[in-house]
Amino acid sequence: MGIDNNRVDCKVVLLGKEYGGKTSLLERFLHEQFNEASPYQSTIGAAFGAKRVAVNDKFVILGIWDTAGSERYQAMSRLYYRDAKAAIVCYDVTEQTSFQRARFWIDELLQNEENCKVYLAGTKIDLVQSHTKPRSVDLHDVCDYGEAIKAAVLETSSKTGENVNDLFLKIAFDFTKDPYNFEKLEDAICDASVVNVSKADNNRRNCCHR
Amino acid sequence: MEDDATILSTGHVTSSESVDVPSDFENLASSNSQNSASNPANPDIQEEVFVSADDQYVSDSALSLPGPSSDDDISFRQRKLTMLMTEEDESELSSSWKEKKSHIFVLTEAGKPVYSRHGCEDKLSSLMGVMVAIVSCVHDRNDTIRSIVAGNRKFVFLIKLPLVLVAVSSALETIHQIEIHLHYVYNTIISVVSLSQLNRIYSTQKNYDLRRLLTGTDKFLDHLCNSMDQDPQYLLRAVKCLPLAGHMRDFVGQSLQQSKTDDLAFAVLVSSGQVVSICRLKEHNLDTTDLQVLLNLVNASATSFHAGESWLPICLAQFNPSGFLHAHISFLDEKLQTCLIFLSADRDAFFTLCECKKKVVAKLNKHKCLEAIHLAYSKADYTVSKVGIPELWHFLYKTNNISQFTCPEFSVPYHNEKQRQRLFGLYQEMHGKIHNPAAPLKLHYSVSDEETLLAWVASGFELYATFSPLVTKNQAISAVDRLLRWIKHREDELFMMRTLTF
Repeated sequence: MGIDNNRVDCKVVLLGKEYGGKTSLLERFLHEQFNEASPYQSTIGAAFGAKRVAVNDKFVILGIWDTAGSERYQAMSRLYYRDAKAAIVCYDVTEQTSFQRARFWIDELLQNEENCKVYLAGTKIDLVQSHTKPRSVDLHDVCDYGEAIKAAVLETSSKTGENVNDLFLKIAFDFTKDPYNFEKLEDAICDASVVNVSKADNNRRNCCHR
Repeated sequence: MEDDATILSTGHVTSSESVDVPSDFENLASSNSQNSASNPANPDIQEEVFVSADDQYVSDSALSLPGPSSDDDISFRQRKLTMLMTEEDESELSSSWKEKKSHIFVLTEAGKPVYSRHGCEDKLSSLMGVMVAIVSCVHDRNDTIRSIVAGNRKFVFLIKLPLVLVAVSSALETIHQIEIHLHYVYNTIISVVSLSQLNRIYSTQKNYDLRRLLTGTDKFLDHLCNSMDQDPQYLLRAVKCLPLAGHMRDFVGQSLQQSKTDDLAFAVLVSSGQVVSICRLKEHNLDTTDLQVLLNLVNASATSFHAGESWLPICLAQFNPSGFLHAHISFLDEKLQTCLIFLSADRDAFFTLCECKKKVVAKLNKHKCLEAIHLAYSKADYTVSKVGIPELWHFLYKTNNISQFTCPEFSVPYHNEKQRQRLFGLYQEMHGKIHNPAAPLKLHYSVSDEETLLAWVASGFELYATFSPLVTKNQAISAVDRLLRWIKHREDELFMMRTLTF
């Protein structure tokens, strides 16, 4: 993962219903890959991955916890969102129940970690675009809900990579906006291997968050 | 119909005893009786119920005694079960389902389906209802049902309240071997939910649907059930080590020692499902069954771990059935072959263990261990020809004190799946005879048209060897001597003779 020590600046947790695409989202962000051939494998326990991104001449190391969606690990998920700076709550745009589950997670999360920023990520948008499956979660409904809880909303596809980097870059960018966080960050030297985001292209393809 | 049923018991059950059957079981029985009327039981099938008190095994010698008398109630119910398994419910159970040799069912004591090896457990609720009826019917007489034999089918029950595990097998396995399989299934379920959590749930909610907690666990159980049908590790209750030069294994062990931290109980390195080395706390041993459950979990879900480093709770029944250990699992190569597992008692130790992993990997690289491991598993297993005994075709050798075994890869004449299955069946049969609880044997020698088989249990080892059918007894015995010398000579390479401690 290219990180020499285990320093993590920003702890991010992925939450959401099982089969919601959390692991694929992380896989796309960390390794830029999507394994279409392998059958669905439910995550057991939790997996951790970290990646360094550069924002405004600073490096931010995102440490991301991918949690299991199944009920058995529900109690355990609390361990992972403790002190998390950001939570990506995933729902499958083709499955209404996954959105209800996302709302459950947000309620629970905000009760315990009120300072954690919430990012609502619709997943599998490529299925809707290719007409493989009909959309069941309306984007406007999600945006209305997102506005009410001050959460950013993005629809993503781990298969095509659409909006995936933008999502994580936005998390990193929002993190650096807090001057307290900003001070502690490591200076970024010009390095082509890391993704760079400038102020200008942030929020670029973001649908309704300002 | 009563005449063809014999019931054997330890004497606690007699026909004069009346049995109180709960009303819902009566309903179940009466709804089934209509089915039976249209489908009379095959009179050729001899049905026997073996019932034992105080968890005592009913020995085979006792089976030949005539039963005191038939017992309408039990025989009626178990006949229902046989018929459900063989002829009934055409609508729900397809013929391919019935043809499966070995079925395993897990249900709760309230009759709620938890797992079925074949088919969807939801559709089997009536079948599971009958199973619960049989269990409670015997339980009402302060006795515990162990097994039923009907024709060539064996019904084996393992009652671990709140769970009931049932196996139905028409393979050659003995009842004792099937019981061991059920124990493995039970331990796998416990590894996910823990015994104390299970008891807590069922003390308050008798009809809880355990599948809610077991989501995603089916793949472990399926993988386990399939392995038990072909992998000698479950038959022998021993693990297989990756053959590796002794000094290299020592380097791996020393590398694992680097991970010593507070609350770290075990560090295990495995490669393609075979153990390379283990490092443990001085005061704790990693039990073989626990290790097998852990390895099954890793093997069954190799691809789901490769996203990064995984962290999951696991309950090892022999280590501590009421608590969870936390497993840090990471693969050390792209091909997902070599896997490093840390088991810690501290649930917040994840990042500490990430550091440990780096130390271990650095040390492994220093001694070029990963290359050696890679070479060892790409070479695959050794062939029996390496032993240099032409009449020896295959063997299984288990060292008893460290519960490890070795065997060569299957070669001619066991080169195809059918022959391999047949040989495994023969090993099961021999193992069953040698370990017959009623009359354990030390040596078993048999000759058939196809091969000569020899099984030998001594104080330190168990050996099952297959020879050409033309071999004489003296030749076989001298071949075994040479084989034992050959193994002794390569002990360091084939087995993990030492486990280091932190």
